[in-house]
Amino acid sequence: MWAVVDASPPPGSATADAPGDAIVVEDLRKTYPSGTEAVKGVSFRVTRGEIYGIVGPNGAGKSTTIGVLGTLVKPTSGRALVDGVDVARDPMTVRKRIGFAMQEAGVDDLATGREFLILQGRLYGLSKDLAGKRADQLLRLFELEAAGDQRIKAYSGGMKRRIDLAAALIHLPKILFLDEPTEGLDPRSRQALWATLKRLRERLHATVLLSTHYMEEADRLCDRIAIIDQGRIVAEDTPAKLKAGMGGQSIVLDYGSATDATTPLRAERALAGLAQRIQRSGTEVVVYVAEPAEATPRILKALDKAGVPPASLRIQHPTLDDVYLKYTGRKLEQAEEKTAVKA
Amino acid sequence: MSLWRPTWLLTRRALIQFPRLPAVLAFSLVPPLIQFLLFGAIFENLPDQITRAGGSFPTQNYYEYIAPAIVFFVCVLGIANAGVALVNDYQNGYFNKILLAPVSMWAILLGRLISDGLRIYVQGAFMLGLALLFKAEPATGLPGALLMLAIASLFAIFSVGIIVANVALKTKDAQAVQAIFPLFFILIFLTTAFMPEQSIGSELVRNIIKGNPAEYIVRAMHSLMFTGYDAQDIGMAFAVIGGFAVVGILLTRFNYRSVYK
Repeated sequence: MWAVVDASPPPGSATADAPGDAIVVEDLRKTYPSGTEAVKGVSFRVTRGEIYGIVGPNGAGKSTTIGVLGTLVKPTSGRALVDGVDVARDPMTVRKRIGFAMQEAGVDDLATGREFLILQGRLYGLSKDLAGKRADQLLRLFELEAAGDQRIKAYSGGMKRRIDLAAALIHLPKILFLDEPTEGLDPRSRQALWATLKRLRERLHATVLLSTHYMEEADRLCDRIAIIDQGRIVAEDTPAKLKAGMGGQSIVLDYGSATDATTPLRAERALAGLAQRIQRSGTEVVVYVAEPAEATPRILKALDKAGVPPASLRIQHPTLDDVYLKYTGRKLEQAEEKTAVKA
Repeated sequence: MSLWRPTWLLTRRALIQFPRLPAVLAFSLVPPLIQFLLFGAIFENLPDQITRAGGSFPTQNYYEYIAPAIVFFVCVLGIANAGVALVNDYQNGYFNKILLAPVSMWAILLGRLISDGLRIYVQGAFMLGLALLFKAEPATGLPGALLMLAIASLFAIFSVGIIVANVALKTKDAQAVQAIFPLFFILIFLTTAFMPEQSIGSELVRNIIKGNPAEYIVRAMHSLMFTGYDAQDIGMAFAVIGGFAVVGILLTRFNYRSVYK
């Protein structure tokens, strides 16, 4: 469907792909007036046409980083180039070249979907006719055609997300920023949005930088990811390579919520020397071994002997959750809980 | 993109949406309307009483006397919506959406203030039309009436409008914007809008009125209503509007920084 979109560039947008990276971030730092150091020296590069994910819990610095790149947040120091343009020095040029869908859908509740898209297009310099044409195409692409003349106020959360994303695409940006694009969506809407993003990437060949705290989302959508924790990037690579770096499968020992707080620690001690690596996370102990099936009886025996048999056990392939655990020392859910308690 | 194209686009957006917000229209029309009808009825005999007591009153029709005041009230109350609307845009994320577009923040503010300014001009005209039913006719006719509306609307935009917009930008809180509304009522009541200066007993209040910039707007409107085009009164009104515009632009420029985190 996107193929039928008239892809003539809007006035002011770059007409040819500049060579090199679409996004360059060097030693970016942001300290808010309150004293909160949200970003503490982040550096990364995003290649043209790539889907790059910034993954981490709430409060890790994802939205601040993406906010700086989208010109909404002023960096304290460091450098950020988007399509070769310095975001701090020439924000207006950056805005012409990017599309941005925020964490909270930024929509005009009193407007109809079509009015909203047309106005957005016209603010990017499109003619009335072209903006109208694009609005119709985007409404069709995002399956909002029937609701196009309804006020956005009446839209569901998923529909608001989609119209917001459509608005970010009305001027066919070369670079798209998506801040937690599926936050608050039900699993079905999330899957639908993933499919749409994949279609857009294929047809628009745009560079996409997305932030998410859903590991599955990053795994499925991104070519490369950066794991960000407490304002710093702790790991960066393709999801496959990051997972491969974890070794083979792992054995997860679950001690359940009723267990003594010291039990996982005692289990870890009991297994010393039996595994390549052991990591505790809440009531779980993750044991990394070369051959889990062979090692399991040995491990259970050692745990029995120490008087700390697990409530349950499972063998799993490495996930990005494991990668996060390896680099930060805690699981993503725990980091989220910690952030929630702080808030 | 020039400043005017996005300003016009955002002005148009608000103009299209006003009919979808009946509460906003009612809020700025109903209280002044009630005041006009109520004050007019209660003080109907006041001009006669003051004249009999040896005083002077510019008209024998009290409805005519308060007509400019009510237009002024409509404009001041109506423009306050600009701040609330900006906060609403901020809270539903739309403000940031526009900031992400290649649009100057001045276009966002001007679009808001011009659209609300046009609305209060029309609402003020409606009140003047209603006043005609009570035989309150401007001495300067239609041109004078249009000038009267322009003076009230411009003052409302550059004083109240810019103040509420700045409070909205700074606090992003609708309650903070609404909390300053009572100040604007005081601004109107501490003028000769409802009573000629010589009929006000307290010297202190008379002195406060002289120092209230809104008084010079009321004086110009009264001139246009009762006597004619008084260059000094009209000039003074535009000087006050110009002063507020300069201060308002500087204040907005200062607060502009708080929009970006």
